Amino acid sequence: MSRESERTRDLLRAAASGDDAALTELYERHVDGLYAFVFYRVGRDPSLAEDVLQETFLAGLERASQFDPARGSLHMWLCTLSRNIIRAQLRAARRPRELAATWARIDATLAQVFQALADEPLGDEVLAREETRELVHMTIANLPDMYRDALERKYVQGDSLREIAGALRVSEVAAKSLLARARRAFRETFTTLVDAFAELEPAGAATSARAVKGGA
Amino acid sequence: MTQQHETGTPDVLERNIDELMRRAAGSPARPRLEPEARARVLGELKRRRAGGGQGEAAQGDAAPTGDAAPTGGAVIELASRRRRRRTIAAVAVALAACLALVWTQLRPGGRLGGGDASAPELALHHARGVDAETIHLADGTRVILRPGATLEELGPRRVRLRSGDALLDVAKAPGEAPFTVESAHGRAVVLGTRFVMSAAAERATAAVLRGRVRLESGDESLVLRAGEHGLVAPAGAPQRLPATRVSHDVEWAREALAREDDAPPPIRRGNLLARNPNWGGEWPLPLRAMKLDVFIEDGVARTTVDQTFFNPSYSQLEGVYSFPLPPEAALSRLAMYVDGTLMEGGIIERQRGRDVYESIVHRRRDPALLEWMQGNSFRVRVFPLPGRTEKRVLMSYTRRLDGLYGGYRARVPLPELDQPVGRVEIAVRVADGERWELGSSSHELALSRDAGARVGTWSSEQVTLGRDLELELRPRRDTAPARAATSRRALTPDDHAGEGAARVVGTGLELQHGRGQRGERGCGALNDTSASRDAAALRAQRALMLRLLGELDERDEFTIVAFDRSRRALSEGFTRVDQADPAAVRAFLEREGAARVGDTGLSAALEQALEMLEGAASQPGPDGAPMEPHVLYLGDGMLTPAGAGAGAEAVTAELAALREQLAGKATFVGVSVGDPVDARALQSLADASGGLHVALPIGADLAWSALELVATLNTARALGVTARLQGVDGRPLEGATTLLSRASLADGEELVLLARTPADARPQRVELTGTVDGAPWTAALELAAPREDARYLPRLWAQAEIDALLDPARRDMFIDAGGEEAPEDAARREITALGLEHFLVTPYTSLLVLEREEQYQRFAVRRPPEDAWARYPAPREWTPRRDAERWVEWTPGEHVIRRPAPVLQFPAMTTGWEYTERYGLGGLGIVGAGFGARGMPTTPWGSAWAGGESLGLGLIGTGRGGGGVGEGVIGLDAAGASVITEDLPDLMNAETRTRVTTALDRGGWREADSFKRVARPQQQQHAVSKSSGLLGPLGWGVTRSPRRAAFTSYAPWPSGYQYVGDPTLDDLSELAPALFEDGFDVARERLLASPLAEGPGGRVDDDARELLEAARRASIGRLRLRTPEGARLWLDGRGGASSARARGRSRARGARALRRRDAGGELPRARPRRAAAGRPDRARAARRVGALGDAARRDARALVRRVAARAARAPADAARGRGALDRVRARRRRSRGRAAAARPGRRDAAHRDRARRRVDHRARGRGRAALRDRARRRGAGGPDE
Repeated sequence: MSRESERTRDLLRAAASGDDAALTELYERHVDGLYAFVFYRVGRDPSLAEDVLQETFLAGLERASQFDPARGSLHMWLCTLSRNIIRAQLRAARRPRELAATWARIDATLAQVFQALADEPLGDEVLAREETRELVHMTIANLPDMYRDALERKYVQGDSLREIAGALRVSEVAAKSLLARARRAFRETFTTLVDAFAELEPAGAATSARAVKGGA
Repeated sequence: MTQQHETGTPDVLERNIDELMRRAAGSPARPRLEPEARARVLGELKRRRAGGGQGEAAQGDAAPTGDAAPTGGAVIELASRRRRRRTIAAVAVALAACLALVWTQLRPGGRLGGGDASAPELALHHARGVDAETIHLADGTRVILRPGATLEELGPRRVRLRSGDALLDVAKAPGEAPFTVESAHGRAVVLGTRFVMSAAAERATAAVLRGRVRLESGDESLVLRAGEHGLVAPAGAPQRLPATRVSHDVEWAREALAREDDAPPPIRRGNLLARNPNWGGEWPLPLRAMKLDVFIEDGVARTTVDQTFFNPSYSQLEGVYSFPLPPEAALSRLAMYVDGTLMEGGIIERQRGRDVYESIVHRRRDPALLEWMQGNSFRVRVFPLPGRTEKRVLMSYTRRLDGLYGGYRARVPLPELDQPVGRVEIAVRVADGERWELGSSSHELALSRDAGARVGTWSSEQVTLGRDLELELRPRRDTAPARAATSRRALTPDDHAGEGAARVVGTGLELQHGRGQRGERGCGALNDTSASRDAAALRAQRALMLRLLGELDERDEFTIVAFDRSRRALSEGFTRVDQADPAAVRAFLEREGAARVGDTGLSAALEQALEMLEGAASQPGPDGAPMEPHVLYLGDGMLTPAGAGAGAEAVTAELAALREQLAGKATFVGVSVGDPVDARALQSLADASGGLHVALPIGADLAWSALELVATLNTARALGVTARLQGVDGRPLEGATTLLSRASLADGEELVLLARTPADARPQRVELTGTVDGAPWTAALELAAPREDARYLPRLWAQAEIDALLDPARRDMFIDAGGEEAPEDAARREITALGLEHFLVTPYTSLLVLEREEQYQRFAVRRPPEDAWARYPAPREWTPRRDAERWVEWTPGEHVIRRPAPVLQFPAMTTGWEYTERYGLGGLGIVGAGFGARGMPTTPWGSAWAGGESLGLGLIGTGRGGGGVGEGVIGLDAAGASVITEDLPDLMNAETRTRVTTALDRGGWREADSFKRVARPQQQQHAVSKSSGLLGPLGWGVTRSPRRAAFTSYAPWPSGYQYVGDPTLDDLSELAPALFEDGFDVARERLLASPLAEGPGGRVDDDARELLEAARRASIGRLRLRTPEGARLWLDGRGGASSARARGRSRARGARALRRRDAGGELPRARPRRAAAGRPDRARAARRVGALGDAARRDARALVRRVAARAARAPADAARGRGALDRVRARRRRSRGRAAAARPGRRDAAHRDRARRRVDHRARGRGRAALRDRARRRGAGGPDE
C-alpha cells in the first residue's frame, strides 16, 4: 500500500471520528470529481446532484472502516457508494421509470466515430458537437484517479510533462507512459460510456439539454 | 490479430484526445458545483456527521458491495423508501447491473482501468438466474446468455462459449477486426453481425440473424449467411443444417432484446361511446363488468366479449358500440339486452337490410345495422341508453390462429379505458386439453381441467384495462405432434362426404434455399401516411421502420417512400444499410411520416418503388448476384381505389390491378400496424408475389417484431404452394375441392388445408408442390386419422370460400364460368348464400340488431343457431341495474380522460367568467354581481377609490389540484385606472400575480389584455381579461367589466409562448409563417432530412455537415401556438402539427378552422419560432432555393449557414421562449437554497417539495384571507399550509 493511499485512509478515518479539518480536506479533494461523476447520472439536476453528494459523503464517513485502499482509490469507492444513493434519489424524485435511452442524441454515427478514436483523426463535425464535449466530461469523471489527474493536468491546466511528473512524484518516463495509458483508458471509457450511459438519462433532462443547446 | 485495435496509433489517439480535451475544457457543459452549494454541502455534512453517530447497524442492503453495514438516518430512510417502491426494483437492479459493469471495467486493475491492456484478465460469465443475462463487452459487443450458459472472455474480441446458448450482437471494429467465438469443437469468426451460438458436449451450432459468420473446425471452414444454420462437430468439417426460423431459436432472448423506448403508448379503443347531441363529442361509458370468454379448438378460436356498461348521466344518450377485431377475424354474434331481454343480431342480405333499417328509422325506432367494411373494426349504433342504467352488449368472433412450430400464440384485444372496470373475468378453454399446455404472458391464469378441456381463468375487481390478453398454446412435450393433423365433419351422418381440415406444420419438409448464393436485398419501403392512419399507428410505423433498418443485412440496400396522395422519397436511389445516416432517416420519417391527409395511393407508390428497384437491380451486387427486389409496405392495407367506383367491387378490382403490377417484379412484404387493417388485401398481395403479411397490434414489441420479420424473410420459403389430396391408392382424389390458408410455406409455419370431399373419398395423403428459390419443390405427407365432428369447420370453409369468391383469380373454382350468369353475379349470389347460412358479414350481407322479437320474424332476419359451435351461454333475461337518482358531480366529457399526448401539457384547465356592473356617482356605491360565485364587492365610502373584492372564478375545470379560488381587487379612481388582479387559481400549488396597468379612457371603452406567468415551476397561466368601462366626466357613470379568464396549465418547457397581448405578435409574420409552410420551410426541412452519408448526390463536406448538425439541433423542440381562430396547435420539433385543441367558445371555431384546412387538402405545416431564426431572409432565400438538388446545394448550404449563424449570434432570440423556464429554475434554486438554510438537515423529498412550493409571504397574506373565507363557507378548518 502506498503512503498516499495510507494517508487517504487515515484522513477518512479521522474525518469519520469527528476531525473537522480532515473532513474539509477530504471533501475539498474529492468533491469536484464526485460531483462530475454524479451530475450526469442524476439527469443533470444540480439540486439532486447536491443531495447525492451529501448522502454519499455521509455514507462514506459511516462506512469509513470498510474502505480498503488496496481495492481501489477513495474516489472510486465514493463513486460506488453514490450509485446506490443515485438510484434511491431518482426513485424518490419520481423520475420517470422509463429512464429513456438517449440513443437519439448520441447516435450511432457518433458511436462509430468514437470507435475509430485511435485510428483516424476526428472530424470537426464530431468535435464541434455539444454531445462530444459532454461525453468528454463524463468520461473524465469516470476515469480512475491517476488517469483523471494526469489528463486534467495535461489538458485542462496545461502542465508540461515535467510538471506532471513532479506533481505525481514519478519519473518523466513513467509520467509519459501513464499519460499513454490514460489516453487508452479514456478511449475505452469513452466508448463504453456511449453504451452504458444511454440507459441512465431521464427523457426530460435530455429534452432540456437539447433545448438549451438549440439556442446556444 | 487485434493488436492494432488494442493499442491504436499513439499519435492519432493523442491528437484526438488533445483536441477533444481542448474543446471540452472551455465548454459550459462542464459540471461545476457552485461555491455556495459547495459550502452548504460541507456545512451540512459536518452537522449531520455530528448528529449521526458512529455505530454500525445491520442495514446491509444499501451497501453497494453487499457486505457493508450502513447506519444513519439517511441510509435507513433510503432503505424504507426502497420498500415502498418495490415495483421499480427491477428497473433499479438493471440500472445497478449496468453501473456495476462500468465499475468492473474501470476499477484499478480492471480491464480498462489500470491493468496492462495487452494482457487482459480472463473473465467468466455464467447466467445463473431464470432470465437471460446481458453482457456488454469492451468493444461494444452485446452478449445475451441463456440461463445456464457460461461464457469466458479470453481477450479483446475473443470469447469462448463453454456451454449453453448465447446471442451475440457483435459490434463492428475499426480495421474490420474479426470477432471470434470459440467452442470445444471449433470456432466461429464473425464481422459485425448478430448470431446465436449454442454449445453442447457433443457439438456446437450457430445460426445467423444478420451478417456473416465463418465456422472453422481444423482446416475446414464454412460461411453462413443470415437465416442459415451450421454445425461444428468434433469430427469432420462444419456442415450446413436445415434452416429453421432463427427468431424461433432466440425466443428465449426476447425480453432481453426488447427496449423500453419502443413501446408506443396505447391508443384509446372505445367500447360503447356515448354522445348527447347537446354536448358534442363522444366519450366511452364506464364499464361495470366485463367477461372475456375464449374457446379454442384445433387452432380455431371463438372469443366473446360480454360487457356491461353504465350510463352515469341523467340523460338518455345514444351510443356507438365499436370494437377492433384481430385481423382475419369474423364476427359471429352480436347481441344486446333490450329491456332486459336478449336480442340477437341477425344476418340479412345487404340491400334488404338497408331497407329494413330505413323503414324502422323512419318511425323513430332505432335498430343497429352493421355493414361490411374494409378492415377489422366496426361500429354499431346503440340507442337508447337510459340515464343511470346499465347496458349489456355481447359480441363474439371466430378466427383461425397462426401456428408456428406446432404451437399457437394469440393476442386477444381488450378495450382500453382510463377508469377501472368493476369486475373483469377471463375464461380460456382449450378443447382436447390433454394435448396442450396453456399459458399467458399478460395475465396470471389459474389453470385447471374440466372434462378433457384445459381451462385458464383470471378475475379481478377494479381493473384498469390496457393490456391485451396474450395466450400461448404449446403442444405437450409427451405428445408427439402430428405433421399433418386432420379433423373433419360429415355433411350428413353416416356419410363420408364432408368438410375436412388438415394442418400441415412445415418442419422437416426440407425447405432449403435452392441456390447457395443469395443476392442482397433491395428494399423499397413504402410508408403509408394516408388519412386512415392515426397518430399512434404512424408513430409505431416510424419506430418499426427504424428497427427494420437495424435488422436488415448491412449490404442490403433500401430507400423509403412515404406516400398518401403524394409521394416523397428519402433519396433518389438506393442506399446501403451500413451507409445510411440514421439521423437523416429519422428526420425524414418524422417529417414525411407524420399525419397527412389524403387517400392511399398505393398503386402510384408501388410504381415508383418498382421503378427504383428496377434501376437498382440492373447493377449487380458486390457478390455478383443480382439484387433481390422487395417491397416493404407499412400501413393498413386499406385501399382507396382511384376513380369513381366504391365498395367491394372497386377494392377487388384495385387489388387485382396491384397483384398484376407486382407479379414477377418484387416480393411484397406487408406489415400492418394497429387497426383497422385490411388483412385480406395484404395477404392477397403477398401471395401474388411470394411475400408475406404480418399484422402487428399497436402495443407490439417492435424490436422483436422487426427481428422476427427479417428472420422470417431469411428463412427459405416455398412459394406458389398448391395441395393435392390422394386417396388410398395413391391417386389424386376425384371431386375434392381444396383451399389453402396461404400460398407460401416456410419452416415451422402452419398451413391449413381445407377440403370438401365427395361421399366415397377417403383422403390418405396430401402432396404439396411449389417452388423454393425458383426450383420445384414437393412434399408428400400421410394424413393422420381425422378427429371427427369438428363443428367449426363449416364456417371456416364458408369463410375461405368467400375469400376465394372475392378473388377474381380463384373464383372459378366455385362458379360455373361458362354459365349464363356473369361471373360477378354468380359470385355475389354464392357469397350472399354463404353469408346468410353461416352468419358472416360479407360485402353482400349485413348484420342487423332489432329491438323486438316480432321484428325479426316480420323481416325474416336469420339469427345464429342455438346449437352453433362453441356458443357462449348468455341468459335470455337479465335485469339491468338502475342507480338511484342522486346528484353526483358529473359533467359531459368527464370520462374522456385521455392520456396526454406527448406534448408539453398537463390536462389542468381552469376557465372562468365573471361579469361586474357598477353604478355609482362620484365614486359612491358600487354594486358587483357576477356569474359564477363572485362575491359582493366592498366599497370604501367617500373616496375616489372604488374597490371590489370577489371570490371564485365560476366554473372550475377538471385538472390537477382541482378547485381554485380567485380573488380580485379592482381599484379604480377617477383620474386614471390601475387594475390589479390577484388570482389564486390553485390553492395547493400556485401563486399568481397579475398586474395590469392601463390608462382609463374617460367616457370611452377600454380593453385590456393581461398575461401572467406563475411562480410555480412548470406551470404557466394565461388570462385574458377584458374590461369595458364608461365613466362620466363628473365622476359618475356605469362601469361594465366583463372579465373572461382562461387559464391553461401545462408542462415543463415553455419553448414558445404566445398570447394575445404579446408584443411580438404586432408583426403578424411572426404567426402566419409559423402556420403555413413556404418554400423556405420545405427547403430547410429537406436539408435537415438529407443524409450526411455519401450518397448518389455526392459527399457532404465537413463544413456543411457541421452546419446541418447545428440546424438539426436548433430545430428540435415543441411549441404551442394559438391560431387567430382560437384553436391551439401543438407542434412537434419537425414542424408537424401534432394535435389541435380549442377550449370553450373557441373550440368550435378552432375545429372549424382545422376542418377548413383539412378540406383544403394541405394540413398546414407549422414551424417552431425558434427554428425561424433566419426569418428575414426567408422570402429571399425561398426564391433562391426553389428545389434542392445538386445544383442548389451550395445556395442551400449558405442558407443553412445563415440559420445556424443567426441562432448562434442571437441566443436571446432563440431562447426567448425559454426565458420563463430559466426564471422559474432560478427561482426554484433560490427557494431551495432558502429552504435548506431555514431547515438544515431535513432535506428529504417532502421538504424539498414543500420548499419548492413555498410562496411569497406577502401574497400568501392576501391569499390567506380568501382561503379563510372559503374555508368558512365550506365549513372546514383553516387552510393547510
